[in-house]
Amino acid sequence: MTRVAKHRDATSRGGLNRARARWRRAAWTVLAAAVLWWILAGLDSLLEPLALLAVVLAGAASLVLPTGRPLAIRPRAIPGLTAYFVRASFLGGIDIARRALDPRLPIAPDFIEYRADLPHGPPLTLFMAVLSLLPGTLSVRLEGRLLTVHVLDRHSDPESALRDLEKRIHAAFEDPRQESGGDQ
Amino acid sequence: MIANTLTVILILAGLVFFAAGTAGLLRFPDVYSRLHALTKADNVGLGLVILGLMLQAAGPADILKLLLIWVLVLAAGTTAAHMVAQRTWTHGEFESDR
Repeated sequence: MTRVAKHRDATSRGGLNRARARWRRAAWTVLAAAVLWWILAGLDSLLEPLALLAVVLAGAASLVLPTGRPLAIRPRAIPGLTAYFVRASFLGGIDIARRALDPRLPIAPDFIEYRADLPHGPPLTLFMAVLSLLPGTLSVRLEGRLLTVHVLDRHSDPESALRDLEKRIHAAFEDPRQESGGDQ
Repeated sequence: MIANTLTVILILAGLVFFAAGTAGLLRFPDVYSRLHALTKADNVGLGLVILGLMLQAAGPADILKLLLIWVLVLAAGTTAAHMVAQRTWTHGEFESDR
C-alpha cells in the first residue's frame, strides 16, 4: 500500500519534472527563434505580428512534439571547448597553408585507426567533426567505435592530439552510462 | 581609420589562406590530402575575412549574423569533407590523374 503510494508519488514528481523541462525547452526555443529572427531580419521586423506569431508557434511546436533525449552537454564546458577549438582549427589552417605553399610539399599521408571511447550520438559526432579541423587529421570512416583517420603527416603524433580532443569532449558531456537516473 | 586598416589586413590575410587552400587542392596527390587543404585552409580564411567584416558591422545583429555564417560554413565544410572521404573510401577515387 505504502509502496504503491510512494511509487505514485515518485511518478507524479517525475511527470512534474518532465513538464517543467518541457516548458523550459519551449522557453529556450522561443528565445532562440526570436534571436535568430532579430539577427537575420532586424529588430523592426521581429516586432511585426507575423514574426511574433512564428516565434510563438516555434515554442508551441516544441511543447507538442515529443522530446528527444536531452543534450547532455555541460554549459560550463562550452567556453573552454570553444576556445580550444578556435585555437586548434587556426593552427590547422596555418599548418595546411604552410605545407601547401612549401615548394618541397612536405606531406606523408597515411591512414591510422583510432578507437574512440565516446558514446554514440552528439559526443562522437562532435569528435568526428572537430577532428577534421584539427591540424593534419581527417575523419574518413566510423565502424562501431573504430575510426579510420587520414593523417597528412604520419611523422607527427596524431594519436596524442586525438586523445587530447577526446578527453576534452568527454569532459564536456555528461555520460549517460554513468548517470544514476536522478533527475529523469 | 584603425578599424578600416585592420579590416584590410584581416581580409588580405584571409585571402592568403584561401589561395593556400587552392594551391593545396591543385598540388596534393590524392582526394584525402586535398580535403585537408580545402576544409582547414578555407575555414581559417573565412574566419579572418569574417573577423575583418565584423569591424565594419553596423550593430550587434550584423556581427552575430557574420558569426552565424562562419559557424554554418564550418559545420557544412567539415561534414562535407567527411562524406567525400567516406565515399572515396568505399567507392575509390572519382577519377584518376594517373
